[in-house]
Amino acid sequence: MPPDPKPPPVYRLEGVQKRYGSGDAAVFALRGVDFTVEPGELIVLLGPSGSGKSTLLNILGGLDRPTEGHAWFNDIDLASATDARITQFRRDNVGFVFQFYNLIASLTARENVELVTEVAHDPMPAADALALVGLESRADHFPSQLSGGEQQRVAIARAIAKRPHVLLCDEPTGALDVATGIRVLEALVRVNRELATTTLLITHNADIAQIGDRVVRFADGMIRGIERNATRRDPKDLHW
Amino acid sequence: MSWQLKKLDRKLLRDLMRMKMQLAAVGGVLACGIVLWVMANGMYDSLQQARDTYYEDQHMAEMAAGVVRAPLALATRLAAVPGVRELEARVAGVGLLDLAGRDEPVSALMVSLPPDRAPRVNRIVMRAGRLPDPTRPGEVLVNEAFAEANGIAVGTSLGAIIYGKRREVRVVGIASSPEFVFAVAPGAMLPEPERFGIVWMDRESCARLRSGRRLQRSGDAARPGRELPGRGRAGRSPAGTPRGTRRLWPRPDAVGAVHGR
Repeated sequence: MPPDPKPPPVYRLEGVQKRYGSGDAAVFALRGVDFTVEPGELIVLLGPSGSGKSTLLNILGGLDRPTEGHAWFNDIDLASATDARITQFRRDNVGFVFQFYNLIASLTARENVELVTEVAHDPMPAADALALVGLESRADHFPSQLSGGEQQRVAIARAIAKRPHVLLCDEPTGALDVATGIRVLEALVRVNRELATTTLLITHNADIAQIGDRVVRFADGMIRGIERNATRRDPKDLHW
Repeated sequence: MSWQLKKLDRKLLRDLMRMKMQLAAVGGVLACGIVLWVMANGMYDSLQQARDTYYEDQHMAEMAAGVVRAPLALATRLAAVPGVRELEARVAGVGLLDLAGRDEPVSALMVSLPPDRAPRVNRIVMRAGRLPDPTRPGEVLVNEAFAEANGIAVGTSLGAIIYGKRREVRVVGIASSPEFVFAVAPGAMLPEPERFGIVWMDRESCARLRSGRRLQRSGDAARPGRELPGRGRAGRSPAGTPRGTRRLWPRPDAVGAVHGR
């Protein structure tokens, strides 16, 4: 019996550039990125501010478009797809987690998650999503009654409740203390493992790179190196 | 879709509840605005109705036309035009009044009365006194606002300067008319009852005022605009102004009609 063929990459990037302005005033946020993301991977994007990490994540999430090159998600070219197609792509496939939680203050944790499950095609119950991030007992609390870490975990639950194919996290621990940040990372790792959600995580923090399958180092709009971790460290073991 | 809106509806309701005091304030302001709007509309409607009723009762003319030297016989023809219910021909013109103790000039619109009856169009309402006796030239009515502003009572004698000649007239009545609710002097923006009034007088006297000279026969005086024997040419008045209609005033512009006379 022949071995199972390797599944195709989730993302395939070819010569992706992002330029703002033109001529002498042109500023390049990305200077030609070639990169693939395999299904189920947890990839950490590491680099200083202004290195192009967030721009790349925005392109991968369909929030922005490259000015040159191609960014394929399965068979969708995010560089040339129509706005309607991109919107559908975001709705069906992508979960976002940002540094700031963007929760709706007048809805409880459960209702914030249900806001997404109401419009998703095949969502998980809001209670299950909250349980995955360890917040089942806080489901009926409003954001103002939750700590920063708890709010970020609600944001993660909201992002995963629609069972997205990819989870894009931009500095999810950037506004949190170490202990809280570790709890958030644990939630992300758990989602990645239990739901096999392909996860890309941006951070400044080199220590966090150890929880990923691969680490992509960015500088000056280009990928400076891609490393594969021999083993993924448990977030509990991290210190920074 | 109703599913989709449920959480957003809940968010909206909670947000509204959180702002209930502001909402109450905004609601109060809106309610006051609506009440004022309803009141103003009601008042406007009732004022319009009152005005229309007043105009109807007093046979306020639907339209007025100023003509120069038109033969009186034309009035009979115009009265026969389909749709014309009533038509009144009269003579009008501005003259000066000499009021004792007043330094500034006082002017008045002199309006003729029919010789043998009260006007059928633009009826006047007697406030005091009586109508002038057509057999006694020099008896006049003045409008109520002018009389009040200048302390004129029934029996007061006034000096009317008509084409440089002073004539004594005697006030025998105080009257009002829908036509002169706001009596505005030619060129003025607002009524100034102490400086401008309305004087109703017999047609002959009024015609003398307009023709600028004493006519030889009283019958001629009753026909304003009739060409004097041996004077002027067809199409021109003795003063050289053209004959015919200068302007028409539909009723809503009746106040402005005073300016053009």
